[in-house]
Amino acid sequence: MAHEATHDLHDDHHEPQGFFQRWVMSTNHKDIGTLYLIFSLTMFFIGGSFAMVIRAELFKPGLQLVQPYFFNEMTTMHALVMIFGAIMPAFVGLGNWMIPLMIGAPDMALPRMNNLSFWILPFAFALLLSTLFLPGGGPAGGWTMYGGYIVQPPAGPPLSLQTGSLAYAVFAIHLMGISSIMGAINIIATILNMRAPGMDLLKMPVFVWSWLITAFLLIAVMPVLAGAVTMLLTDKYFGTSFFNPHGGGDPVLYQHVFWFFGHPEVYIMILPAFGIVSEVIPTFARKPIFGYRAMVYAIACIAFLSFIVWAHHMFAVGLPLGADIFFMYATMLIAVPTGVKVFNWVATMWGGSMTFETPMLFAIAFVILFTIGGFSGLMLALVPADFQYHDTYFVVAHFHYVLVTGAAFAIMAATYYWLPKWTGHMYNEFWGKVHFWCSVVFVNVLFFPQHFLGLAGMPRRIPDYNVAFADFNMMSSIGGFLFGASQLIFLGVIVHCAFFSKKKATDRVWEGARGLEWTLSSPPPHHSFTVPPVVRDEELAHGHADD
Amino acid sequence: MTSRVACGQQSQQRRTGVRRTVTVLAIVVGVFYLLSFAQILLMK
Ligand code: HEM
Ligand SMILES: [Cu+2]
Repeated sequence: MAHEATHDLHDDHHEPQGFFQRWVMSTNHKDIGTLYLIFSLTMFFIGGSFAMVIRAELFKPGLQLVQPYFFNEMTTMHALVMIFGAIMPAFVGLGNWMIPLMIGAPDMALPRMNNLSFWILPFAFALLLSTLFLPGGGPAGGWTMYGGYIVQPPAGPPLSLQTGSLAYAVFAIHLMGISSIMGAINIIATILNMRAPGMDLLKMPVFVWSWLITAFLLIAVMPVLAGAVTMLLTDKYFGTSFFNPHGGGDPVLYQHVFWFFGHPEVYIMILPAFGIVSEVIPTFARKPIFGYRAMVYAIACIAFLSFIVWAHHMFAVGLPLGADIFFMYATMLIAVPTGVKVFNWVATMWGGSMTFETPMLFAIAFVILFTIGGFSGLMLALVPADFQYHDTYFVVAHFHYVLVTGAAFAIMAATYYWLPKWTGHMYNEFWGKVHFWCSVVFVNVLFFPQHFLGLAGMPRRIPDYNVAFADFNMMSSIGGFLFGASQLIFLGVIVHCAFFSKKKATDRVWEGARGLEWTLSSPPPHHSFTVPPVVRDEELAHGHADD
Repeated sequence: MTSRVACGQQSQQRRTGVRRTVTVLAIVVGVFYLLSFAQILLMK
């Protein structure tokens, strides 16, 4: 019965032969993880270049560089590429690399499906990005694709030039969704079934926990997104009227369906980041995580709450009062488990013997700056306040604090933290720190002034603005260019570490590192834990429920 | 058992576990997709 599988796994046993075999046909979690991470970094720079166009146009008032329609394409594509191309695949890549190593599994549970999950993505993004070259341009109605902008022809290109860009985008989103769902199933199957003996659920590293919960979120909401965009598609091309008022449809319905996906989606982009920070801080504070159990429960609690807050994105559409109040309070409730996490990270550092290597710097910056994003989120959760802030730059500032200094900084922390493990060489600490300090300074120059712009009333997603907003916009653009340029240092450090670094990494890499992944050599053998490791409590990652 | 694991094998137990998990999840996803698309058919 098990014959085919036996055969396959047996082939796997040897080092992969040739470039094509190794990278295209890969079923190895480490290689697939690497592919995801390279893909994500590529998308980070593509999405980043779109952001540079946006900030260049907004450098001063008036239209200078690009046509308004193209500007809207840039804001739309920037968001889609960063969310689905950069942040999510980075976490999947980190999960692929680290989850089997952290739980003592030989590989992911479904290695061939893993290959497929990854290889769908380049095609999905080729499809999405190709729309920029269509005669009528790409999607330009924002990443939220509200029906009103999408279904009715935009004022931009003349009707004769209207192309199938929406159809391309919808198909690309379907592909990304399928990839994410397969990835999520794989991660759940791996965590539930492949743990080494003795690795009880409540002994798993917090990063593994965060991914387990994220995977359930993905399974729950990706089909909803697929349904929403399919209805858009049929509205646009097949004459249905789900969201089109001309035929009796309801545009607000789209917003409900979209945000039922959309809010859990933002937590999909932050829970694995919480997991990463919960690994990095104990290592460099040389203390177990404070309140392991509370950390796990807080993640689960946030995940649950994320399903009952979606309409905080829709206060301005005019919901019934009862709905306003429900969603306001439910949203503010999320601050409680989030606060638990922030306090526990601080308590982990408290009294620790801390050192400040690059991963720790990014993790500490995460704790501080993510919290700023949390606070602006709380402000937005207040219905009367949101009436003023909605669709202004205040929202843009909010979600960039949680996504850039939150999710992206955590990914950078993870990269520096595990790069020596992956490559077997140390990265250059000096340049890592230069990257950190440039990033942390410029990201604030970039996004902090946007709070003021929003409070003063500057709308989001516009290519031109009142001269009253000129100074803060120029400041923000300068911060943007410098932040963008700083990321080239990141690229440099990674390339140097992977190919040129002479400094060998030890197995443990960091003095305070705990967890099964550090018991392997650096880099780990192509196939690790083919014999399940013996899990000793002192080697568990920074604490567990029995503490 | 251990030796099968040692040659890159998952043990039989793991194999059934994985199969069971994947079946359950696949059904859940299938139902979610069906619901999402059923409403498309039902509503218009
Ligand atoms: C304390 C936790 C948080 C609260 C209370 C909160 C609250 C809000 C509210 C009320 C809005 C809607 C603002 C508007 O459009 O008028 C919003 C927007 C947004 N939030 Fe949060 N948020 C929180 C955390 C997060 C996190 C962790 C992320 C992602 C990692 C995130 C990502 C976003 C995004 C992307 C948007 C804008 C969506 C769009 O319109 O394009 N938020 N948040
Ligand atoms: Cu939300």
